Amino acid sequence: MSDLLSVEDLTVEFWTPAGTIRAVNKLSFRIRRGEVVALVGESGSGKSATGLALLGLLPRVAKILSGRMLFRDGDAPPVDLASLPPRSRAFRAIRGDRISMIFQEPTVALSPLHTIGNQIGEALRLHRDVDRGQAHREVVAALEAVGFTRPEEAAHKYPFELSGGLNQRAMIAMATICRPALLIADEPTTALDVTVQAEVMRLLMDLKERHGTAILLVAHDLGVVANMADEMVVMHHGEAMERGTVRDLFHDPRHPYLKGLIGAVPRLGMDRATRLRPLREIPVPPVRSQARPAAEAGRPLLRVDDVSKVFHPRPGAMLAATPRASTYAVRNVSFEIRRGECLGLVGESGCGKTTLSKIVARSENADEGRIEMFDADGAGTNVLGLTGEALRRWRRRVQYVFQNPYSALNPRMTVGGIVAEPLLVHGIGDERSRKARVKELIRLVGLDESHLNRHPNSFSGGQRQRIGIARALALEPELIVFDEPVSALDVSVQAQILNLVRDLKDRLGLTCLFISHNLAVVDYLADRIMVMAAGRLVEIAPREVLFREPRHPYTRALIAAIPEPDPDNRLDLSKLSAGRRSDPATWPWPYGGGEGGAEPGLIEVAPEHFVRSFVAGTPDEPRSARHAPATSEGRVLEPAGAGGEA
Amino acid sequence: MNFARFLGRRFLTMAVTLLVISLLVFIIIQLPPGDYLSSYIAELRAEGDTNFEEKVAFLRELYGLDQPLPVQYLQWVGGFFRGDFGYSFEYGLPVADVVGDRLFLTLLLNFATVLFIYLVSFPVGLYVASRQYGLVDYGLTFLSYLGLAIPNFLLALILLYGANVFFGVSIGGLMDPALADEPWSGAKVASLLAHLVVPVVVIGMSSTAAMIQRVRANLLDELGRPYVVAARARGVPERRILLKYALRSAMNPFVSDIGDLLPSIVSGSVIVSVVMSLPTTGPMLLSSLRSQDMYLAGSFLMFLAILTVIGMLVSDILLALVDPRVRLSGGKRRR
Repeated sequence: MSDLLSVEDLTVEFWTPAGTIRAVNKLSFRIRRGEVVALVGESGSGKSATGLALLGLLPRVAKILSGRMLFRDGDAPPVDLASLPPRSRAFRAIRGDRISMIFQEPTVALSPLHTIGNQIGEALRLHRDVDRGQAHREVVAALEAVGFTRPEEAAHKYPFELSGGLNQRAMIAMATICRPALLIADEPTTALDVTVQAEVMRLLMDLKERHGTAILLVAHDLGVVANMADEMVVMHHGEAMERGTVRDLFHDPRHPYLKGLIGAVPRLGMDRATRLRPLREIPVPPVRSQARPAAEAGRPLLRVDDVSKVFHPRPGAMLAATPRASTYAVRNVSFEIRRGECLGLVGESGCGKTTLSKIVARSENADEGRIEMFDADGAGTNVLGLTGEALRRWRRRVQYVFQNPYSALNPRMTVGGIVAEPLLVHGIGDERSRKARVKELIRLVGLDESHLNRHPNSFSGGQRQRIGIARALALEPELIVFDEPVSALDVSVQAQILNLVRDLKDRLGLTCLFISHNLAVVDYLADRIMVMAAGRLVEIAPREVLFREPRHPYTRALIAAIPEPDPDNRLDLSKLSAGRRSDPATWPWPYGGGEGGAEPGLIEVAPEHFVRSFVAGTPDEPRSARHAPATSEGRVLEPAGAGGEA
Repeated sequence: MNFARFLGRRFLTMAVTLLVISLLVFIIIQLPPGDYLSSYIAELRAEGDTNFEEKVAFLRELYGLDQPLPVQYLQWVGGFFRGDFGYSFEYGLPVADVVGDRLFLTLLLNFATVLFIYLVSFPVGLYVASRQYGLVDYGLTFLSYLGLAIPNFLLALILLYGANVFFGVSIGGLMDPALADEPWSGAKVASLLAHLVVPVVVIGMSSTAAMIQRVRANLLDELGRPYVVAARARGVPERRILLKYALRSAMNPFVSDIGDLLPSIVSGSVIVSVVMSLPTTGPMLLSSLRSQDMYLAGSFLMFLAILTVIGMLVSDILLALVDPRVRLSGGKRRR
C-alpha cells in the first residue's frame, strides 16, 4: 500500500503580539490509503494546526516555515500541499473534493442562515459539474447514508433546528459527498454525548470500510483513538513524541509523555485504590482536622422528593409552524444524598441534570415537589420554602463549582478577593481571620499564597478550576455541587482536578453531587450513581452495581457506548445502531409504554439499586403481562406520575 | 396562520404604545408653567393693547384652553382620527397646513440620506474587510475616522462657503427659491434633486463613516467564525464566502437599525437644516417647542412616535426575512 499523504519535517509558526510560537516542529508522519491515523495530544500540542495546514486553512498569522506535505491522489503526480498557495485555484480544487474536513463543534461549523441541504450541495456543485436538481438528489442520498430518517425534509432544515449529533452527521455528509481520499476529523466527537459519539464513530468507520477513505483523526480522547485508529502520532508542544500502531503504543508506551497520558485517563471499573497519575502531580498539603465526624456519615443530608420543573417556550416565533409544547426539564425526580458520600449524576446534554442541580442549589425554582435538608442532629429544613434572610443563610450550606472555569471567575477581581468573597458576603470573621482562611484554602487546592494578588486571566483552566473549588470550600458547606467541573479541561489537568476532589472529599468529609456526562469520570469519584434521561431519573445504584448490572435500557445503551482506551477491546459499533435510548418513547415495557401515558416510578430491584420501571423483574426474564398492574414487589420510592405533558 | 397572529399582536401593542406616548407627550407639553396664550398676553400688554383680556378670553374659548386638561387631551387625540391635528397658535393655521410640504421634503431628504449611507458603506465596508490591514484598509479607515470627527454642520458651513466663493452659487435650501411656491413641475423636481445632493452628503457623512467601521468589524468578526473555515474547507472561493456567508450574517444589526433610523428623520439634522436653510421639519419642531405651540409640537412628537413603532415593526419583519433563526425559533440575535 502506498502512502496517500506523507508529511515531512513540517514546521508551523504563529506570529502573535506576544512573540512567535512554534505550533508544529519538524513533524513527520504518513497516512496510507484507507487507514485511520490519529494525532493525539492535549490542547496546544499543535495537532489542530497540523490538520489546518493540510487544507491550507491556517490563519493568516501562521506560516509554514519548512517541510513538505506530499499528497498522492490516485495516479496523479504528488502535490506538495506546503508549497501550494492556499488561496490558489489548484488548492481550492483539492479542498472539499479530495481532502475534506469535519469539525469539533458541528453547530457552529455550519452557517446558521443557510439550510444544511444548501451547504452540502455547495460542496458538490463547486467540484462537480452537476445541476441543481442532480445536486439535490445527491444531497438527499448523502443525508440518507449518514442516517437521517427523513432526508428530503432534513435537507431543508437549518442547523439550529437540529441537534448536535444530527449536525455532525450533516457535516459528515458534506465532507464526504465528493468521496474524498482523505478526511480530516478534528475532534469530531468531543462536543457530543457518548451515545451520539458512538454513532458518529460508526459512520466514520463505515466510510473507511466502504469507500476506502483515509482518516486523519485529531483527538485528545484516548478511548476514541483506541477504538478507531490504526496508527497514532502522539504530539506534545508541536513535536511528535511517539509514533506507531495503536496496538503497540497502547500496550507498550515508550515515551513518558504517552505513558502519562494513558495513566491520566480514568477508566471504567478502576479499582478504588488506584489513583490517576496526572502528568504533573499537584501536592495537596495536609490540612487541619476539619473533617466532619465519621458518625454523621451515611445519614441523609438532602432528600429530593418528586421534584418537577417545566420549561415553557417563549412566544414570539413569527413563522414557526406549530407553537412548541412545554417540556419537562425535570420530571418527578426523587433521591437522597447522604452525608459524606459523593453522588454521581450522569446523562446526556439536555437531560435536565444541570437544571436539577440548580434546583438543589436554589438558583432555579421547582414547579412541584419538596426538598428537605437535614442538620447533623436530624432537624429538617424545607429548602424550597426558604425566602429572604433564611434563604440567604441557608446558602452557606450548599456551594457550587461551575463547568467553565473561564467564565465562572470575575476577571476584574484578584484571586484572593474571589476566594474571600463568600466569607465577606456572609460576614464571617474579620479582615485578618479571612486572610488567614483564604491562604489556607488556596494551599488546600494546591496553589500558592503568591497567587492571591493575581487576576484569573493569568491562570490556566485547571488552576482556575481549583480557584473555583477553593471558593466553594470557603464557607465549609455541607454539600458541594460539581457541575461538569472537568469537561472543559485537558486529560492531564482533568486528572489533577479529579484527584483533588477525591482528596478533599476524603480529608474534609465533603458531601458532593458530582455531575458529568463522562461515566468514567463519575465512576472514579462517586459512591453511588444516578442516571438521568429526558428529565427523568431512570436508575440509581452503587457504582460497581451500576456498571455490573445496569437494568434500564438507557443506562445499558450509555454504558455500551463508552469507548475504552484499549485497542483490544473495541466497541462493537455495528451493534450500536439501534442502541440510542434517550427518548422515553423507545423504552420497552416495563420501563415505558404505560397505559395512557402513565409513568413508572422508581422500584428497588436489589438493595440500594433503584430502577424506573413498572415491575421489579429483571429484563432477562421478560414479562409478557403488558397490562399487568404495577406490582408491589420492592419498595416504591416514587409514585407513578400519570398524565401527559403540559 | 401564525404570521397573521404575529401581526395582530404587534398592531395591538403598537396601538397601546402610541396611546401611552400620546399621554406622555401631552403631559410633557403642559408641564412648563403657562401656555402659548400667556406669552401672547405679555406681548399684547407690551404693545399697549387695552382690551387684550377680551381677546384672550375669546381665543381661550376658541382653542378649548378653558376646558379641563383631560378634555383637552381627548379632543386632541380624537382629532388625530379625523385628520385634525389641532391649530398652530404661532402660525395661526391648522397644523396640517403648517407642516404641509415640509413633511414630504423631510421624508424625501432623509430617505435619500439613508439610501446614500447604505449604498456607500456596504460596498466600502466589504472591500475594506476583504483586504484587512492592507494600504487601502488603512487609508479608508483613516478617512472614515475623519468623517466621524468632523461635525456635519461644520462641513455644511464649509461647503456653503466654498460653493459661494469658488462657484458663486448658493446651495442652501432644497430648491431654487423662485420655484418654491410654484406648483410641482418637471423643473421643480429637477431643481429639488440637484439641491438634494449636498445636504445628503453632509447629513449622511458621519453616519456613513461610522457604518463603514461597523460593517468592517462585523464582517471581520464573521470571517473568523468556524462556519467560514468550514466553508473554505469545502473549497468555497473567498469572494463567495464574503458575499454568501459573512455578509448575510453581518446584516442583522443593520436591519435592526432601520427601526432607529426612521425617527431620526423628523428630529435629526436640525442644525444642518438651520445652517443650510432646508425646509424640513427639524427647525420647526425646535421653534414650536420653544414657544409652547402645543398642538404643533405635539403633532411632531406623535409623528415621531408613529415612525418609531412602524420602523420597529418593519425591521422586525425584515429581520425575520433575513434570518431564519428569528423566523423559526423566535430567537433574536442583535450584534
